[in-house]
Amino acid sequence: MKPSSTIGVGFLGLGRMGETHLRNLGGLSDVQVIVVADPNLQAAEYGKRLSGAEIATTDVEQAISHPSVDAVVIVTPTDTHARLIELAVRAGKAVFSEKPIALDLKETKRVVDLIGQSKAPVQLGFMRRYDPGYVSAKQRIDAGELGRIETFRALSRDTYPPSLKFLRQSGGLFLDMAVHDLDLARFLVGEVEEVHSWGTVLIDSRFAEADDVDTAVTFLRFVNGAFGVVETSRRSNWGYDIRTEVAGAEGKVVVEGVQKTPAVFSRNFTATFDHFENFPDRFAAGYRLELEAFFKALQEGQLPTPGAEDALETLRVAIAAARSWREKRSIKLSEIAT
Amino acid sequence: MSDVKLRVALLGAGRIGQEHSRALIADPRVQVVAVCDPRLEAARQTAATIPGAVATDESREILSSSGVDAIIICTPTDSHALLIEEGARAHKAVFCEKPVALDLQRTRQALRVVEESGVPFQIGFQRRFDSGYAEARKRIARGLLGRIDQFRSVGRDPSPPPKEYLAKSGGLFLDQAIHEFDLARFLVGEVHSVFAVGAVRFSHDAAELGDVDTATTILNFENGALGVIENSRRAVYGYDIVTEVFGEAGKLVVQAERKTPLRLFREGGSEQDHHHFFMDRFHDAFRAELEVFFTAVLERTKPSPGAADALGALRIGLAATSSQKLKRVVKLEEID
Repeated sequence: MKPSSTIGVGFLGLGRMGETHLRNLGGLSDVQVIVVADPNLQAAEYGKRLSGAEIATTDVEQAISHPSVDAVVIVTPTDTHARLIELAVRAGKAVFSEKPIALDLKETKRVVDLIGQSKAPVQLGFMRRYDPGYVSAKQRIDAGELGRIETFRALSRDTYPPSLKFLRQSGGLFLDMAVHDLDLARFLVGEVEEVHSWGTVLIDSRFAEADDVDTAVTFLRFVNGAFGVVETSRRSNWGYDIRTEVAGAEGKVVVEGVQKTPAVFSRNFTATFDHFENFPDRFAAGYRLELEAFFKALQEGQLPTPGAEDALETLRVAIAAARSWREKRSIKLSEIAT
Repeated sequence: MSDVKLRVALLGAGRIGQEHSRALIADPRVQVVAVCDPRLEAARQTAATIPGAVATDESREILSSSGVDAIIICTPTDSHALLIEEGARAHKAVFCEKPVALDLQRTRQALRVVEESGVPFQIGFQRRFDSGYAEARKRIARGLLGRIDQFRSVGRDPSPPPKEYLAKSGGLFLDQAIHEFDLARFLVGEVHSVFAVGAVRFSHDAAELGDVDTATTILNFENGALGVIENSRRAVYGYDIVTEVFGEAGKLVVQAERKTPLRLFREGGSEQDHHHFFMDRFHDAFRAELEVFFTAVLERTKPSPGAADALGALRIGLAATSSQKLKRVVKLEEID
């Protein structure tokens, strides 16, 4: 039995990311995992042991509808998000889901409308918004410390190119990867009015087979008049390379986490320090803090953020970028259905 | 992973007790069954954040209970030795915040009880579990720096502790510098002799208590290396912890450049932030040290750092304290 002040959780999806989230839930007081569900029962059982949950199951509907479950955490493959969010919202549960809601606008819009009507608390996993670097950047920009914002510059390079299987269902470079920087652009600077993208295959011909690109540059024109540029690449041999710069009339802010271990090693006329390997280590704090913020919002009766509307707006920018690459022309956001 | 959890009692619900409680909640191998503090309200507040934990102000009950496998001691220093002894006699695995005690005799007495009982024992030198220091130790052990010639370590706290704390702390060398002394042993080896100078630069409390707020200690290691340690009870910009190990084939610097991965550029230059205190700088290390302790208990291996390390760092602290008072070099063999 859980105390009434405790939020009961139905946890869906015990892949690698799921395990990270589940471990982070363990550190939150007044939050108790009740059911862990995964199509692979062994994985669900492992999650049950890890979290002290009561039930391990392969049945997601059981996990969602269990009477002690107040909130559903969705860490399943992308193509299941929309259906699971819908089920949870219809069952009156709060939802934390990994991004995206869906890869196409119509399905996303349908779910966003449903969430809007139900007024259910829903948060999407744009974890960078909870990285202490981006949180601090946002606070300083909002406090006017940079003056009027003039330019935004973001660069993301993933350490390892994904598998062809993943690529085919990923939605492509713009919707799967650049979307994080496009979300930061909206978070830090504001809404986007127009985009222009170039994309190419420089790393691996498999991307061409998947009708995708592995390297891209996207130009942004914001509603407030600022300019932005986003560089995206599926490979960086030296580590997970994520850098962001926002410059204004009175200053600029740079968010970059390069060094993972606080040690510098000097030998043979060279000083070396290490590098973050991938998103789980670079954004470890972001993953922890986004869940903390979600449950804090629920406890205080606030709507968590970023919510479904944010996810929809960011998706629209990503879709505009992808279309710009395909159609080889600038795309105004007004061309993308709302 | 076993479904049977280690049943843990947390003794002390102060600042560090609360920090440890979060690590305990997050470890799936552990069930906290009790939180004990003489201030029952504090025990209740911490216990309320842990599903299944009861609050109590009576440590004897916990120590005699067969429903407790391990105790985590985060009480004031002067109660550590007795709790260690009682825990060990009751066959509990013991994790204790440093120090065991502030004098050699009491420390040895408690550690003898630990030894005789054969229970797993770990002392809370959390820096050893920081990713930077852990990596430094590995690289030194692999011989990448060659023979070690010099050690340099700075430990500056953001602001001095309250007078009541200072009065019971054992003084700067035993309370603060002891972390650098432990790093010296961890990274370079045993210390042969020390020379310490200390001064009161700003703290009236330190002056009234016969303590110092600023100190520099020179170390001679048994392997021939030389070391220097700087400590201050105040650093207006934050918690300043920097360590350098210099060898014939290279050097290593352990230093957290900034807390937040952000730099701000404005008229006049750029800025980045700084860690505030040990809670944020060593947050991950506090977690890791308990994880390692429980792994050792579950796998029936000996946890580290253990009794010999607690004693080793204390002896350097005592040598530095008497060097500062006697104004001469003190050999470790004099500390007995």
